[in-house]
Order: sequence, then structure tokens, then C-alpha cells
Amino acid sequence: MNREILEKITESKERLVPHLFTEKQIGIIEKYLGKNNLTNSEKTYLYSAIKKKIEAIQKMSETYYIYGDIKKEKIESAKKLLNELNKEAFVSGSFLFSDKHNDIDIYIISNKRKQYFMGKKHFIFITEEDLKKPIFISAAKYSVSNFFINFKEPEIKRPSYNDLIVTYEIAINEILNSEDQKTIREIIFEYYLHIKNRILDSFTLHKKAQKIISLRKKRKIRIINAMVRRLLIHLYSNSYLYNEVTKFLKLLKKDISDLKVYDNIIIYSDLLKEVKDECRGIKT
Amino acid sequence: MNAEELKHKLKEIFGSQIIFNKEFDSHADTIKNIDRTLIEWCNLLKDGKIRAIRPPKLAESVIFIKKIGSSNRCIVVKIVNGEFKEIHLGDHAYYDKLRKLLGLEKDTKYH
Repeated sequence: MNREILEKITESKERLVPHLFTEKQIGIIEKYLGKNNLTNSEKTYLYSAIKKKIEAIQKMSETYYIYGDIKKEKIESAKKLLNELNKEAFVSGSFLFSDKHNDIDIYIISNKRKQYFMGKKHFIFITEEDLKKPIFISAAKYSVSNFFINFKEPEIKRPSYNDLIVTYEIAINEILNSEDQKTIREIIFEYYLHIKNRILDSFTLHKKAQKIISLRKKRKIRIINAMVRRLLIHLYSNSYLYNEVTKFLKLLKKDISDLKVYDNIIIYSDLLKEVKDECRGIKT
Repeated sequence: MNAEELKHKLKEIFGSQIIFNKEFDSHADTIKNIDRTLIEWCNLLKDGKIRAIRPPKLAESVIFIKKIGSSNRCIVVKIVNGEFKEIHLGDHAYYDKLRKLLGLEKDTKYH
């Protein structure tokens, strides 16, 4: 249920009781907002009589919040989608800025996380706490929402060394294979988050990724290498990085002798040798 | 080609030791034209023509990832200098879980 509307109702209870709501109903709403345990009969009451009234008020109020510079026709389409829902939700992703979108990302605030597709609609249920995560802040910063998004202090976590390395490897392979280069976005996102202290909204991220994707392979690899190099040096201590990279370079050396196609492995090795040298330089 | 026939074909390519994830059948039956694209890719992989991913945490294995459509992935795990071990077929959510199993922590749309 839309918390914003519920909060407004409790704030204006003197004007609403007894004409629209009973004292008992307001009491249940207050308990629900305060995350207090409701009895079974209160739950039944909340999700039947009270919910119907809230939905009716929501339909009449139809307040939408636009985050980012979104085209008018896209806003209207997003509003229609939100209108079908009776929950706090926002529409984000490529649907809002590209005519070639694959799916429509609809984020719904919920107590539980889950996601599923219904045709082209991709429903992603997130908790309120999830809105502190940079990835969801990025989505929310370019969205059409049926509730006011209170952007809280982001919880920024350092990616694990292993994860960053594999993300980098996938990005390089996608470039070499001329595949759909989606992983480049992950590298750019992490780079801006940790190096520039900025959470890119989904549209800005898309534009930055497209700019790099449009370049020639060698140039693309140079840019991705430079970003990953800075991330590695910035995120991990010199001694940790030096040890991990030394171990990993041994594995890569073995791979070069074992694998038939290893142009990608040479790219990873060259970058990591530079990182290792830089660590050594800082150490001494 | 149904899931069983596809698995049989993949065993012919990689050997009978190969094992499949639980979700393989349901995905194999729902992804359009999966048999042709997957078999072609697996043949190239067997011939050593596909680029590997080397997870730092898996000293003994390399992995190969094929994107199928926008949200499905096929992942093959191979023991370095040895036989092919596992074939995983799944959607985004499964891919996220597998990345964790491979010693990675990141997820995608949780995303």
C-alpha cells in the first residue's frame, strides 16, 4: 500500500474521521505504518475495507514524480503502467530512453525481494532498504514514480577482488567477441561510484557505455583497462593486491600454454603486470 | 529437439562425464532454437575456439559463458587441461546464483 497516502491520512485524521475513516481504521493504519504486529482480524480489515479506500484515494490523487529529463510520451506510457498497480512503484530502465528496449523494468516496493517477467514487463520487487543500494539509486534517479523517492545515504560496498576481475574478463571477452557489450556498463558504474564518487543514473550510464561501445576495439580495451587499473589500485591495499595479482598471473601464464585461443588472457596479463609493477612501486 | 535429445547430443560432444544443472531441462524446452545455437557453440568450444574466463578463485577450472537472448546464459565449466565438467543453463537469476558459487559475490538486477 502507498505509504505516502497512508501517512497523509494519519496526519489529517481529524478531518477524515468519521466521514471517510473510523477511529479504528486510523488506528490500524498507524499500527501498519509503525511496523507493529497486527492481529489477524486487523490484517483482514486492513487488506479489505481499508485497502479499497486507499486505492480509491490513490486513483483520484494520481500524483507522479519524474526523476531525470524524460520524454513526455515516455512519461505518459510509464504513468499508464503505474496506474495498473496499487503499490508504490517506479518505472525505469531503457524503456524510458530507448525505442529498442527489450523489457520494461518496473520496481515495486515490497517486504520481500523477487522478480519475474510477464511478457515484456519485468517486475522487480525490492525492499525500502534496497533503495540505499547504488544500483537501485541509479534506476530511481531516472524514473517515473507513483511515490516520492526519498534518496537516502547510499550504502557503498567495495566489490570483491574476484568479482571485479571476472567482470573485467567478461567485458574484455565481449569486446573481442563483438558481442552485446553489456558488461562494460558494470565497469563504468563501478568506476564512477568508487573513483568519481558519483552514482550514475541509468540513462547517463547508458550514454557513457554507448560512447565507449562505439569506439574501435583497441581503444575500447584501453579505456576499460585504464578504469579497471584505477579501480584495483584504489580499492585494495598494495600488499593484498600485489599478492593476489602475483598468484593470478601464474594461473594466467599456465592458461596461455594450455588454451588454443588466448588473446584475451594476454590482455588480462598485460594489465595485471602493470598493476603489479605499480604496487611494487608504491611499496618501495 | 527436446531437452533429453539436446543433453544426449552435448554428451556426444563433451563426453558422458558431463553433468547438467537441475534447471537445464526447463530452460532447454522454453528457449527458442536453443539446440542449433548451443550445439554450434559447444562444438567450437570443444575445438578450443572459444575464449575462456579465468576466475581467480578457481585454480583448477576455467569457464565459458554464452549469452542466449537478453536474459539466458549457458555456462560450461572445464577443468584446466582436462575434461569438461558441467553445463549450466539458466536465466538471469540462476546466472547470479552461479556467479556466487563460482566464488563471486556480485548479482545483476539485484541486478
